[in-house]
Amino acid sequence: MKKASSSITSLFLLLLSLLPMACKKECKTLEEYLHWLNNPKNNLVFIKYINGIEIKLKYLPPEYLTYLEEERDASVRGKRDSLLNTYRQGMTFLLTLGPDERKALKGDIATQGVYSYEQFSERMETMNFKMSEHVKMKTDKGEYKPVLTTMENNYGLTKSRSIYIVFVPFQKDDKGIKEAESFDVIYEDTFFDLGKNHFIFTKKDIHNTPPFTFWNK
Amino acid sequence: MEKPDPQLKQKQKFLFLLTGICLAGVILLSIFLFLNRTKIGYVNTGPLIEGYVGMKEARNNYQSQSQIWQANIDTLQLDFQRAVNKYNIQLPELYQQEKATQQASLKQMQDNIIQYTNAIKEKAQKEDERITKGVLNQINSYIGEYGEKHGFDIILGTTASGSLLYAKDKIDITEDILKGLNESYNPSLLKEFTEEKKDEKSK
Repeated sequence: MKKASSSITSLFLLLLSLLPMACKKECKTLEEYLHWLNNPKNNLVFIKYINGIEIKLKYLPPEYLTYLEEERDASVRGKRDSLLNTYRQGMTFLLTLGPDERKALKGDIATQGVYSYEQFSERMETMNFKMSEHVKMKTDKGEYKPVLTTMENNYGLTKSRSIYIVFVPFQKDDKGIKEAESFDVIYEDTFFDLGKNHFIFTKKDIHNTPPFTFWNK
Repeated sequence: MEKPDPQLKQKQKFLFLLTGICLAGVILLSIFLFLNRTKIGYVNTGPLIEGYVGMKEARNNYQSQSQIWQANIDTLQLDFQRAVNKYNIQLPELYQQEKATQQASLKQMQDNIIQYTNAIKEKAQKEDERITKGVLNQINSYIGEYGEKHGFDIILGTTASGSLLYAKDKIDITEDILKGLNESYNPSLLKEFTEEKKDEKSK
């Protein structure tokens, strides 16, 4: 009887010790937080390799976006809650197209497969201003087109190109994005013959993001 | 009682040692050959492409778009037919000049429809090529990743009338690749297409 109760107690203690490992990870530094965000195992970033191109789609949490905004413009620090609330209404993703560095193809993707100035110009115009025609988000509550797609200016420093994509509800009382359980972001490529690509995010994984505690004081 | 011959004992020890060394050598050589064996697999490209949900989705979208284009052409042809019928009804009452004007107008309408139809056919063909190329690139890239991950030296692609005349079933990796390909594309779409297939079969 004593042996049985002691083994039950030790089993209980073992389970108790495992509990913290099942909880959301706490990040002590911003670098740790970004590392967590960029880890494909956490299902907030998906990477595909097709035809020598790397396609990466990353979810950007509202807290991180607010932090970036504050970094850019210190005057908005007093409006943190308002900014957070704005970002929380929708969903922001970062789509990155770059060469598959694992293969021999390592050139700048802006000029890959482009043989004239007209083609280059068309590609840049599409990447800068027309990406909303090639991306959409399907949820279990409806389908959304991006309200904003903008290419990040990399000043020619990288061979890849990143495009911010923002989805917001169509109307003020549209709770589709807030209440959806899964978000299927569909990117249909027109530059590199990559076809249609699905990137599926779930509410559960988004809620698993560690708390953001690295605000500037 | 006879004492055991020490020389015989030594010979036996030596034989044991030799046998042990030979056995170890054979085992090591087998392991070496096994690890360095050429790993070959083949894929039946027909069923792979047909079974890939990316291809099914692309085809569905293409068909929907083709129906819209066809509907536009049908509308134009219907309008043309109406215009011709109207002309035929009015023909007895028309002056020579009016006849000529209307005939020219109908001819222009017909030429426009032919031009539009040809443009649509070209567009449809380009769209089909674009979609197919995208899907094939996805498949090829996945097969490349699969081959590297599973240590394949060669993965052959074969069709029903292809150049692969015989191969053992155990090196047919079509099902494995198809499963991985569909899971990496969109698992929920696979479920959708499987249910569609079941509905069609039950009908």
